[in-house]
Amino acid sequence: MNLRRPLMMRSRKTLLPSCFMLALLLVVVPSRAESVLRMTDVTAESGIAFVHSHGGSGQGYIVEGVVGGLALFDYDRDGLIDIYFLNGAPLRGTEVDTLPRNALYRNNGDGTFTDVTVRAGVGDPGHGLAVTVGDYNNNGYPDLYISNFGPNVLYRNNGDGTFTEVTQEAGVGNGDRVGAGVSFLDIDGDGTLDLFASNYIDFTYENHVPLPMGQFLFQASPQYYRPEPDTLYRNNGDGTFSDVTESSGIGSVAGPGMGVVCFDYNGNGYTDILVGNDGAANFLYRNDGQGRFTEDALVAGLAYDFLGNRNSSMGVDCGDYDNDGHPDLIMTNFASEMPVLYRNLGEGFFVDATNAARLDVGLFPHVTWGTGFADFDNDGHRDLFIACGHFDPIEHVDDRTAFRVRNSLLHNRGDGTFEDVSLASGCGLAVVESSRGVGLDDLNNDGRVDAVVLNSNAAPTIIRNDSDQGHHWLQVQLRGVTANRDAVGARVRVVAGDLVQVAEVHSGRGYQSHYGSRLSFGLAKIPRVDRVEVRWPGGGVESFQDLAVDQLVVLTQGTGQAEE
Amino acid sequence: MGNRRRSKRASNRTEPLAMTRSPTDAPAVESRTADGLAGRCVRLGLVSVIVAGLIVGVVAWWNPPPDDANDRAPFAAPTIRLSKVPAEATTEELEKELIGISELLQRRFGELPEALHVAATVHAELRQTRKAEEIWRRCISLAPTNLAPRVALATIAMERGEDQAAIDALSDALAEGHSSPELHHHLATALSKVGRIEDAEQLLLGSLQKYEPVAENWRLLGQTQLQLEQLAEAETSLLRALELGDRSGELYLALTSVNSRLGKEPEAERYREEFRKRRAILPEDADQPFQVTYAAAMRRNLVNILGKAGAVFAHQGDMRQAEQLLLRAIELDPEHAEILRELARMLLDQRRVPDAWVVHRHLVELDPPNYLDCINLATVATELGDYDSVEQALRLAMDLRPQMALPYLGLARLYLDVGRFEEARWHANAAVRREPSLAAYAALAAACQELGDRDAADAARDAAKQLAAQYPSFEDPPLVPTLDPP
Repeated sequence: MNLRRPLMMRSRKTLLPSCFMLALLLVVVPSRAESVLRMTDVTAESGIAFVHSHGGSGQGYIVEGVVGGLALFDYDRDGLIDIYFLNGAPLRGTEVDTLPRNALYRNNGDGTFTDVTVRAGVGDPGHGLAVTVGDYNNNGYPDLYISNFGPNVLYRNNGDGTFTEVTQEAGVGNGDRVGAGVSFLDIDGDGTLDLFASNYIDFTYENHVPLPMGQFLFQASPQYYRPEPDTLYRNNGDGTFSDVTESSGIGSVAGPGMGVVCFDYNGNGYTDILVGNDGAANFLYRNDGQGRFTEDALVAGLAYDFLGNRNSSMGVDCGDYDNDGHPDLIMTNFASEMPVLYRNLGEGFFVDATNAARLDVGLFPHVTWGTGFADFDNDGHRDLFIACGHFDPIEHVDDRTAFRVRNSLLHNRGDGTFEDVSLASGCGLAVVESSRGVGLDDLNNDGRVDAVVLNSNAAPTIIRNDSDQGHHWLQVQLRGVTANRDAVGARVRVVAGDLVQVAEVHSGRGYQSHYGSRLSFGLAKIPRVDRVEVRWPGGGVESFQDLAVDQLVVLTQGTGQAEE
Repeated sequence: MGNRRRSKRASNRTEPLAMTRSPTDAPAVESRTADGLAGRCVRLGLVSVIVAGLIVGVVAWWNPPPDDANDRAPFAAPTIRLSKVPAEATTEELEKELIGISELLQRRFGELPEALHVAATVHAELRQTRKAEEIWRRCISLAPTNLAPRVALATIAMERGEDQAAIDALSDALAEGHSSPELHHHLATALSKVGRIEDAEQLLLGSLQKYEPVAENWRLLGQTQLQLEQLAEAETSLLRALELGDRSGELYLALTSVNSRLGKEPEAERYREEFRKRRAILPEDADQPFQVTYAAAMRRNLVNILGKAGAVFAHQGDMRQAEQLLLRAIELDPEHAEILRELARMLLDQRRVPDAWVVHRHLVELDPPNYLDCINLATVATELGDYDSVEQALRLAMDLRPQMALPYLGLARLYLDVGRFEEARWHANAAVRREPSLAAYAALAAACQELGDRDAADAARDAAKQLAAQYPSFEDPPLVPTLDPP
């Protein structure tokens, strides 16, 4: 524990010395053996100059704390994953010289990125909370949907490196609300992506509740405001959407929604919706296949944690950590709440496996946000990334945590348990910030999943995965034909010898973020993939046989052949 | 009604209670003129009261007007005043005061584990866990056999996410021979949190063999077995917790989960409904602004700490400081019955009966009043000779617990003492109807005797004899303790 302290106190400005100190400490303290995971902070050389603003200046607005997400996606289809950062807007009482805007960074393919925000036309100045990506018009280019404190924004990708803001004509502005996690999904299997927008609370400047704590104003919990029902838009197939919140059943409940992930929790082929609520029972909207939903989290075992606590859920991701064929869930939570790992037992039931999986109890005092399952060492078992940080100067009233804390990396041991390797996996995990959204994708196409972290009111962290165990891998990009073009909602089963893995294509995940449209599978030492089975959204299972490893393959619906 | 023995005491009854003479003016209590029967009646009544008090486990006793009352010096004027309105204080002031108490305890009793334990608790409450840990470690070094600081240390370790440290601290305690259901519960919880679920199960199985009827540990065992996929065992354990009275939401959730997984959906749905009901209940202060709930929580913490610190000072013989701390606690929370009772006990220990009377009087004025507080006030008022207070306190006790014999017996005894024999007989009869006892029959016999109804007196005596034969140990009760120090 003492090892951690000096590093925790460093800011990013002293990052290189931090890396050096960490390495030194790792050498002299044998108990901190080096992990197989090597994560390197490459922010400085990435050329990314973006600095996030949470928009506040000490007023304690709740919307200052719940910023914000990022999206990793290949907006120009050049085969490289680009980065879109959300930014906060100046909240009432905050003065700025330059208006903060969201930013799009194009991946140059050499470890650097270029700010193309202006050219692309995606510099929304709204108070950005969540973002997702989906090709809602099936034109082959991924579009962006952003939820704000204020009207949401839809950017249609023009396919030429630019976007057009089409919120009004599409009818997806979602009013003037406090937005939360957003996802595209095909609710009825008609081949077009519908849109789910979670909503948080009815905060306005007029009903703001400041909490004086000594010399500071802390942020009130969402329980001081009225929770909002979530919103569901059905895609009309002509570039417009219809609000089906009420008719779909989504509007039957209201909660302070945060992170969202859409997935097929009960294996019936229909995409369901999981919303983490902040300080209230989570919602699981079960899809009847026709686009009508029933809230069923308590029956599924996802409403509460093992002890029946209604946690303050923040982020949520979906991944089969134990390779039993059923997608599991990780949900991040507030301080004095563990992140909760829900193991999917199949047939619609989950159990809280946090203890059994030995999630690091050191996370307990911290607020946890962005999260994701990813196999960082390609050993065939998905690891966990968990971003941490408070939104108040909490260290003044609670010495267990701080506004800025280190993030966590948990290595999957392959036996259903995780090991915290944060201190032993390189300087990428030594950064001390108040992190929020996290994206996990292969930024340099080397087959290893990298990480991008949005830090509140600070520069982001770009983490290159340098883990090198000589493990094989396979990346899969799906192309729907009758299904939506990016096959959001498809379930992929990769069989390589004894190793069988399952993943789904999601739009929107983690904490208010989007990443992983390209599915990554670690294969350990297995040199060949026997087959990849794809269950396409809308129906139909297709098998792609005998695939070479260490490559990205494109699987187009109905072809049966992988494009390499 | 025969008023021949009506004394000055009785005449005081005409004054309203609020105007009752101050304990200072209490005239020296007259020596009782009761004959042998009446004296026996009184003594038996006292025993009955004491036994009743012991049964309910409180320090309440009934003191008769003492035989030697004439020899006593009059009581001094009360020196304390109790506010009925909570003192105002900002959260910052409350926090500063909390820290001040910690510093005071450390300064005065730097080598006293129980004082340091309270000081550490202050810092734990304020989330200054490093400071709390430092003090608790000092506690442990001073009193290695004391379990409380170890459990506390383990608790803050768990709150910091350092469960292995908690396991180490509690395992050491276990290895040193400590054993309690609470210790086992904490250790099993920590073991479970770090994924050592099998170890947690074994620990709980052993604990429950030794301490079987502990619902919380049965629940924890069930939850542990659920995590180990031992569904049938989990159900048995959880049902045992239910049988032992656990009605917590987490128990119902675990029962829901285990029944769902056993395919018993009707049972699962029943438990799910119970869980829903519990989750639908909001805290009482749910609609209060944060500032209000935070200040209230800080105030509660301070009041509790003041109470604990007061107990430490009292135990160390510094009654003045102890009293100051308890009075401050009451200033902040004038309705904190436990602290009021503690203060009253402390004052009685110092033979400051008039002050104790003030406190007991304050207690019975709380809403809702407490039966035992009424009995205690009657006791103290008797010592002061303030029979108006005695009568009113006992009548309030009757209203609160009409089925109890004790207030009737007390009033019978009072009326005998002041010569209101008809009322004494009525109340003695009422006491006998509620709980036949030697004391009640004796009071009845005495009243009847005084009223000239010898047959009834003999009948009561016979009944007393029959009862005495059944319970010989009650026949010659020891003399009742008075407020005099032994």
